[in-house]
Amino acid sequence: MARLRITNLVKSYGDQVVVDHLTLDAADGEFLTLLGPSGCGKTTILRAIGGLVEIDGGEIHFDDRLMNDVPPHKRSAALVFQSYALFPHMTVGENIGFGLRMRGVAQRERNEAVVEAMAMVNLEGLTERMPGQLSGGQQQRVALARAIVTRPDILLFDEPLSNLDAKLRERLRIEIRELQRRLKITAVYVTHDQGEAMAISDRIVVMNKGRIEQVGDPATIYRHPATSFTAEFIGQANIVEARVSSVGPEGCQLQSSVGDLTATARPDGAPDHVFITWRPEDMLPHEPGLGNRIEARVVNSIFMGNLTDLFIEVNGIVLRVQRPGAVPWQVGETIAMSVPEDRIQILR
Amino acid sequence: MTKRGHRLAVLLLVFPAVGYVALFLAAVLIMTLLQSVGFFSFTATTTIGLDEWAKLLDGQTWDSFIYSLRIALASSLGGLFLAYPIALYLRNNFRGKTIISNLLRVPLFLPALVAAFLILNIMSFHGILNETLLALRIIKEPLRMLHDDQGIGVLVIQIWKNLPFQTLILTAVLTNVPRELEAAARNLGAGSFSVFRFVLFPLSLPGAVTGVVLVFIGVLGDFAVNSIAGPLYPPSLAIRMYLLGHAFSEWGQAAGIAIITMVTALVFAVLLARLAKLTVRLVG
Repeated sequence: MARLRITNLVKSYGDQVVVDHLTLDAADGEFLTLLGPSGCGKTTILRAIGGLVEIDGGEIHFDDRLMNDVPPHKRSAALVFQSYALFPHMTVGENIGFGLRMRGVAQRERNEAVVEAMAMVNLEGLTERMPGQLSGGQQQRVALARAIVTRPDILLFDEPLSNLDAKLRERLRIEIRELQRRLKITAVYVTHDQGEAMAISDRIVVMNKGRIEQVGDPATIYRHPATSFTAEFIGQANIVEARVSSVGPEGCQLQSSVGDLTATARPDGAPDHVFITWRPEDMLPHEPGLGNRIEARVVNSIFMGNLTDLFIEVNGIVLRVQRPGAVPWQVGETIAMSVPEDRIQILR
Repeated sequence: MTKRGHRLAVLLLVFPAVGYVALFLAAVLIMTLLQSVGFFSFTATTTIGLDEWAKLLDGQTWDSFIYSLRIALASSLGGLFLAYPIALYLRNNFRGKTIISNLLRVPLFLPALVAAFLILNIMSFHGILNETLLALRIIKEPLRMLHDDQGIGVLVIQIWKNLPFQTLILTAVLTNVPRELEAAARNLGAGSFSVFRFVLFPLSLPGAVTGVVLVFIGVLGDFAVNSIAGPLYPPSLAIRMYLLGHAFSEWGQAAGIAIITMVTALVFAVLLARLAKLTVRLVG
């Protein structure tokens, strides 16, 4: 267990800056997820924490220990690889016991720890198998057991579930989360799958082009996206340009391309133009007493079973609406919707 | 094409190569075997039995066998020892990699005889090395580096000649070991030596064994290098075979030497493959 502190981390490959003065910390026992598209620098950060990538600048601390010059094999930051990276010439038991063997743990103790770790990841009885004889899910469980058996200070996950099918992915991410909670090991998890990030994390770090877009718990990131990148990358979002006509203690008045709107949020500083956003499921059918009325024509309606995905057009701008179950409206029909004032976010 | 027609076409296509090998290899093997027990003697009258073997298995043959075995073991294992660091280094990308790997391949393109002559210039009694050492007053009289009783000269030439070959095989095998495995081992606490010992070495053993076996077989049956740089006594197995056949017209005994050479190579290859498997299990 350890607190992770990254300060001003810089890493470039040639002319390309992949991590740009990044500062980040994870509390003791926290599950932190780095979320972003491929090439945003998240894997590089993970490998830098593990010492597998040489950094160009900045500092990495585990608690108060500066790790910059500590070689990877002395870091105690166990990495679970996307490719599993199991040693193909060793049995499952030998793979899991490898870290302990490197630490000079005696064979008997090692065997006990291996059995215990295998039970934790539900792999009992496979000690003597070779990795090649296991399914993808089992291989990733072995990789997980191999990482936790040494009780590392920090657990690192590099898109560990991306080679598995959807159902297994869901089950394993729950297991990973439970295991991490039980062992209270600080975890840094890298993924490009926003659903996975939402499901598994204490906090999410949304990354784009080597920089942090936003850090927050899943609900905050979803409800209050700070930038258009976050709003669009996590879930679906309606993003509309607007002019700020007045700002008061209760919120602000906006003149947007889809009509005049009132928001309880207030812009930072005194910008003239802003981008505002709200989620498709925030839009309600208009009723007397509801503000922010938007009249629009239905251009497309897709029934998804649990919800209907509607695309409505107003002033040439298409908005997305999601309503539970089926809706009574037809394509071509003009409908009145409204956006609750507290659902409108003003983007940076 | 019918199934039968297809099969016929495959047979016709494969026949020239397989037939050629089968005809010459099988025929020569059988003839050699028969010759060693008295058949097909070109000169003497045919006496069937183990007489030829009884005459062959004397001290001289034993000396030749031990000498050739020693040189073959030393060249193949010594070459492997030298090839590993180069192959490990060549896995990385660095400036000048192409030049180094091409330079390493030069000996591959030289026939053994040419290679031997080249080395002769360097190592002979009045070769470049001796003359340089004399000029620098490091030695007072030239050192005997060729035709020495221990076969050191032969060993140097064989390693020089075969090292690129072993390096090439090892580099190919090592390049196929995913980098992630190395990273995983480091991440789990293995230092550089442990990464080699527990991951790279066992995973490259098949390549190492292939290289060692092929070099061993080549060196065990070598004639060219030994005829130029080998000791006066004992002759290598191949030279002894040549002498028995051509100088003494003992074709039966020459065939015996051929069989000894082939069986030794086969036994060595099988033993080494077994040993490699065992090593992987023990290391794991």
